[in-house]
Amino acid sequence: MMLSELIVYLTAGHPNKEEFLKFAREISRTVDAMEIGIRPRIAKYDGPVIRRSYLVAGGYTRKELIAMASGLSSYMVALTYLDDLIDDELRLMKSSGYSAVLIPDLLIDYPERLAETAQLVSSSGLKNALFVTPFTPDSYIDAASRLADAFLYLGIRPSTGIPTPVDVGKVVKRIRERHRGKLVVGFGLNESEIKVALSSGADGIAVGSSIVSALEKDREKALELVKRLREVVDSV
Amino acid sequence: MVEFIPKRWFNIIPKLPKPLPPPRDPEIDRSSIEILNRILPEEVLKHQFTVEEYVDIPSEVVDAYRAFGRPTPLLRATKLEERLSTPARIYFKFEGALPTGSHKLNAAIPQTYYALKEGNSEVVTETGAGQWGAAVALSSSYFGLRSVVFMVRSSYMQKPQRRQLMELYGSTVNPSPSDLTKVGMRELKEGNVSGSLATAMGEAVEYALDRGAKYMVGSVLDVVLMYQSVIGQETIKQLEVLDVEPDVLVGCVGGGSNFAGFTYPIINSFPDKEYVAVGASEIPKFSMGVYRYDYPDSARILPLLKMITLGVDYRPPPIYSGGLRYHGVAPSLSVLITEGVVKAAEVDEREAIEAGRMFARLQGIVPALESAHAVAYVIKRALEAKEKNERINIVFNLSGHGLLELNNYTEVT
Ligand SMILES: Cc1ncc(COP(=O)(O)O)c(C=O)c1O
Repeated sequence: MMLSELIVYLTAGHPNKEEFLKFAREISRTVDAMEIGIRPRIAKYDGPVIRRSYLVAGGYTRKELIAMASGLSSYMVALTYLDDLIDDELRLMKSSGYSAVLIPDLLIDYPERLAETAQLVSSSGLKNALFVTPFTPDSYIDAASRLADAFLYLGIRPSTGIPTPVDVGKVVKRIRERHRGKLVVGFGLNESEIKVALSSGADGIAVGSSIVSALEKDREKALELVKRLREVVDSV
Repeated sequence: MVEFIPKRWFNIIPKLPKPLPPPRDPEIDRSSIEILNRILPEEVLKHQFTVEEYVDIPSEVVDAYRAFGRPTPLLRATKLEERLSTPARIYFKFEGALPTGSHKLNAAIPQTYYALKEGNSEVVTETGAGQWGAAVALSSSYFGLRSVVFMVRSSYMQKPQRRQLMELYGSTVNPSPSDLTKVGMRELKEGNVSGSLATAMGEAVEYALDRGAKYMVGSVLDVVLMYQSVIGQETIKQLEVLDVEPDVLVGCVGGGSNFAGFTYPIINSFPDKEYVAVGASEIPKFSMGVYRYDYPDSARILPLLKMITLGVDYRPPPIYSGGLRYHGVAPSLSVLITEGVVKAAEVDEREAIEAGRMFARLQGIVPALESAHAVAYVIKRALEAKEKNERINIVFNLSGHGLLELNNYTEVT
């Protein structure tokens, strides 16, 4: 049986360039992939922790933030809103060693641009990680499923890091039934929800806010948290 | 014998033609989505965020629906057809048959039920004219909860009967603005004594946060629309028994809950029919509104919703149809209108009152003024059918009766 994947989200340049690089290297062997958040102009679907991290990561251009993560992990996913993405950033992501791109607002605010954007990402030599939510209609889950050659990412809450009550099992099963490829689940999962997500059919889980929040204060604590998450994921 | 009361609620979100934009947090250091965790019953919030096409209705809630008279009747307005000499047939679902006089009870029952089940003893809400407040008052007394209602002071003074009905059900009714909350005291200090729905909402939310009471939501949120889906599901079965396939479906829109509850299950079964959402011309959200993220409440406490809106600071003129005086349209209904699945229309209050009078004289039922907007559109559409000689079936939702606001009919001549 394949082990489930742990994907850790980090905001590029947070809490500062040195700490970010150091932490990313320290966890690179514990995690299966890293999701690197490139500061947007408006953090539309992020909770307070991630929003704050973007402010802290100020002072760099987006291109500098993209390039900062160069070669940090064998599987890096760039996270950017479509509002901010410009064409040559995709090329820079490719040359900086990213494997895939995740665009959370694509199916929320620009569903009509799904095919065109996925094509643009592919032609830059990157894979598509497509973001869906519990609010995504069946027809769009099917369309995204066909185009997601990296994975489908299910953000189970409307905002990162806000613990709204969700029946994780039901939400994951609904998407699992429509998607055969890799399914990653994230957005504010606690330990027991991680277990529910994995046992309901998710192939991997993504964790962001809690790690970013720990990293704000204490790198050692953040490291311990990643190790702990690895154990939880491997225990299912 | 067909069992008419549905056992599941229907949620249209998985079937929408375009993705529904989720609620969004407005600020960096405060999360309105987090505030929902503290004021709503957990199960209600879970229903809001766990999207499934069908959700089982707890048997206690089905029992309450039955006890209060569900299924409501589906009637044919034969005398109105005759008077209009239209080839169209006109049917209506009569939600005014519920004891508090409107569809609002459908959403109050589950919310009070979950509040009780989660160990709460008190619920709180706001009301304008009093339809929502009365629904919360009755379902609270049915389940044995205390209820507190902040009622817009101008209605509190002008509509004593609705206040008395809430008090009869055991509710504590406070005129808003009140001195029970900071929001209220601020308004009183500034001399805004007559109040508004937004202020009353702010007071109810503050009361819930301070006293640990659960806040009951009357419209707009997707979960409320889902709780109303019993209306349309019953209608489908009732039409089946009559062997009638609907062609045109009509309802009035304040926040969108009765319209959605009535039409969404039907849209799911008959996607290509003519669906018409009727608003008030005096609150021109369909003709002048913009589809964007906006606050649902002017206290700006709840998260931003993407909807057709006149802007949260828009001040609706003082028309009698209190239930239609709202700046926005529920997010899922906004998607359906933007995508052209649902057509929008506007009717002014004079037309609504005339249509309501005509309906009362021919069919006996006095429509609530909100519902009379739907009646006015139906009459227009039936006359159009006459011109085109269309033998169509028009079905509309008569969301409530107007017996406690008869002065609305007599004051306008
Ligand atoms: C009888 C009646 N109909 C319609 C409405 C409008 O609300 P909604 O659009 O949520 O059904 C109200 C609101 O108070 C009402 O009382």
